[in-house]
Amino acid sequence: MKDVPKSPWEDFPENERLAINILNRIQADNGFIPRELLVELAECLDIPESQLHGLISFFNSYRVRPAGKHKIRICYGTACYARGAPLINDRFIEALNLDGNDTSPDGLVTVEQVYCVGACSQAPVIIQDEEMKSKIKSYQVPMLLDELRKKP
Amino acid sequence: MNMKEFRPPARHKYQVPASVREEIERKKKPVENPYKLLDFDVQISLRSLVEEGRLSLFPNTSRISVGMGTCGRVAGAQVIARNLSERNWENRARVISVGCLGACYAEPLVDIRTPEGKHYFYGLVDRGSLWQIIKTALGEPPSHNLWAVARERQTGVLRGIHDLELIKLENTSFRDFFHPQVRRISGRCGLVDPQNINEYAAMDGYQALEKALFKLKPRRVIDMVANSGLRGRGGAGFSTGEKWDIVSTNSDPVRFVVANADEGDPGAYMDRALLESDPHGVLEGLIIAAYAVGASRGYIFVRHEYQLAVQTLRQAISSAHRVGFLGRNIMGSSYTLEISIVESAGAFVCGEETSMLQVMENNRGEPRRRPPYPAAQGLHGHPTLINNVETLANIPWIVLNGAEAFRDFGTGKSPGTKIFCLAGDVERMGFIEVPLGISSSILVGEIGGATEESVKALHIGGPSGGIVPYNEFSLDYESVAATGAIMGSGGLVALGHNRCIVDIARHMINFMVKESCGKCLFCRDGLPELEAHLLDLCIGKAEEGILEEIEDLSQAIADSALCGLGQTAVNPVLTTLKDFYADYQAHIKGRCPAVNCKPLIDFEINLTSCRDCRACYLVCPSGAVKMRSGQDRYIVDQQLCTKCWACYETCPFDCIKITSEEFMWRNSYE
Repeated sequence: MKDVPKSPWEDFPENERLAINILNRIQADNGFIPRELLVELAECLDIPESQLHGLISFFNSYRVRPAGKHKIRICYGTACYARGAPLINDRFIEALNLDGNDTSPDGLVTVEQVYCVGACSQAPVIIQDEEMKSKIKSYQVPMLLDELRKKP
Repeated sequence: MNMKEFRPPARHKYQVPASVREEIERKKKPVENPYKLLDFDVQISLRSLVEEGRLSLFPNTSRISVGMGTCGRVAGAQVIARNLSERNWENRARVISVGCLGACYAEPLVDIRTPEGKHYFYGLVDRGSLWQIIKTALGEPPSHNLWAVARERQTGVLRGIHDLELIKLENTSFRDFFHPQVRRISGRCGLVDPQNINEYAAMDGYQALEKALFKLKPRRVIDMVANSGLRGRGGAGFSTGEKWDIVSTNSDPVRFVVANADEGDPGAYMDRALLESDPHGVLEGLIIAAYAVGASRGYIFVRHEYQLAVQTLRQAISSAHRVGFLGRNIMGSSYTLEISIVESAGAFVCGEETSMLQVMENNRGEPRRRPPYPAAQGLHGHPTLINNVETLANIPWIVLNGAEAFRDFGTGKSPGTKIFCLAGDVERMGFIEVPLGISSSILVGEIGGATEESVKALHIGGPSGGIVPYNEFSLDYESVAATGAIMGSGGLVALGHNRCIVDIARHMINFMVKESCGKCLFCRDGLPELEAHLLDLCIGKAEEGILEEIEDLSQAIADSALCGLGQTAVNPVLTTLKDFYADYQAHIKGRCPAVNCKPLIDFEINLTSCRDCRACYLVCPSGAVKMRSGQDRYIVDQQLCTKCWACYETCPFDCIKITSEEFMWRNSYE
């Protein structure tokens, strides 16, 4: 158990102290949004916790459950879709045995779809832990996963 | 409770909200230092920035600019930049990260400026061309891998790419890509260092702000924008000047401006490109807009997915603060503005202005009914000016060059230039600035380099746009609307003959199902129903009469949804039903003309050109490719095949055939 993290909204400038900015920071720090922090944040911003839950469930990128060790985001924008993003996605699902979840059973990889990262000229694009990779072919997926498994 | 502290609440008395009271108090206060208003103080400050900027733009050493926008990074520019900057140049060259020049197909792109004002462009740089770049930077004549050489028309003057003229062309694609373009607002992209405010100032930056603050009254700025006929570039095409006028004439003294950089349209990335490559251009536009409507607080609502853009923007804001172009008494005038960034977290509907405001008030981003429009009653009930990033980037140009000059390009109703993003099955992809009203064949054919036969359809305007057959039409707001699509923010995805139109339409509806906020019934429940119908088509389970059902349902959603998202969500279906009816009918019969829908296709191996390299056998993940002795050495076991296309993508001799009964695979872009 990690020790209690510092409230991430303390160092926010006054005029950027909006719930969505703070939630983004929490997500970036933890990989997901823990319930305890949410309670605290609701008190701090003086809004009901339900309203924060409303925000979290509204946006695609927020997670309330911990993610896998590595995160793979497949761009599902039109250009990437037309150039084979679903093939890559299907290959990931098959290779990781995802079966409806977004995280593999061994907790190694979380696979998500994002809508357009704006690199349409290099389609199809995947983002592997903040590192973007372009012009991926579906048969490269097993090699990618092998690399990830070897990483410490 | 202590009785002394108890006071009855003044319920029936109107109370001026605290924010309004603060604003009034602030406006009553005199300016702190009236001497700062003097003009020369400012002149020196901006001029000194320009001087410094000129030193770094036109150094007497070589300047190597590596394109490090998102597209460049994806293509591997970071390795190139690292290799170059780790070299010991002995003060003979400097390596600088710039944004994207627009030619995203050529990334990683490196531009070397030699002290005599020549620019050497290297495209698709890999380790092999590094040595050539180093040689060029050291002043030796380049031998190969060079794409183009350009010269500054007047050495030491570079305000945009239009100040360069080609003197040598090794790769004709470069000229074909840039020649039909008019680079007004994106001219600096890829040449200026986005992190360096001085360079921006040296390229005529912040001149417009200075002119607006000291030579023009806010009213005059609004008139200029109104006379230019600039229309909102976010999609709807509402007159910008009119919007500004509504906000500025409101009696409420608390006003806000918001720059809408929540660019959700898949396939459109002009906002990202502008923010990453030329953030000060957008910032300057935003400051002028705020000054014109009298706002004291500005926000930039930017997508979470654009991390690089957010970083660049933060950096730009803090450097503008440092030189006094933001914050209290901008440039020494009496005008004060603070700008903060709001990061969205991935919801398409938040590009809709009322939804965006809801999020900024810590609510779910559900759109509300309009009117009242945000220009009258927006953030926290105050009048709020919301403009797209590209619209704002137009403002400095208009203020500097005048409304009349703005009308030099474009059509009467849609003047000016517009950035389009071209992606998909074309040879040259990238972001392209052309006059409005340009023909689609110039854009896709000449600039994109696609032939008439290779492109089947154009997807215009993101998921709420439409898919229209590729033929000649003019690209302005009215003509695009006449085809059934909308201009949207200007994303163009070219679809080749091997892309299944029905599947793309289904993908769009699927996207909208996920993005629907769930407030109104037709959008929330109608769209999943529609997607299920389309899915039936794609997996070959559709029955006769399904097309009528699809059309009826789409029409009902379009007529009854509350906000723009729902009303336009069915556009891809309606446009394709009109123009690609044959494709839909083929799907009912269980065939996919583009051989794309997995359940409807079969893989076969054509052994005539096979060289027995066994690539297909080795790569197949499910063991469906089988080897045997005899005539049919390799066959695909249809029972085991998962249709992952791995064999097709690996086969070096094009032996894999994909069939959907009578239809044959037609590769259109390779």
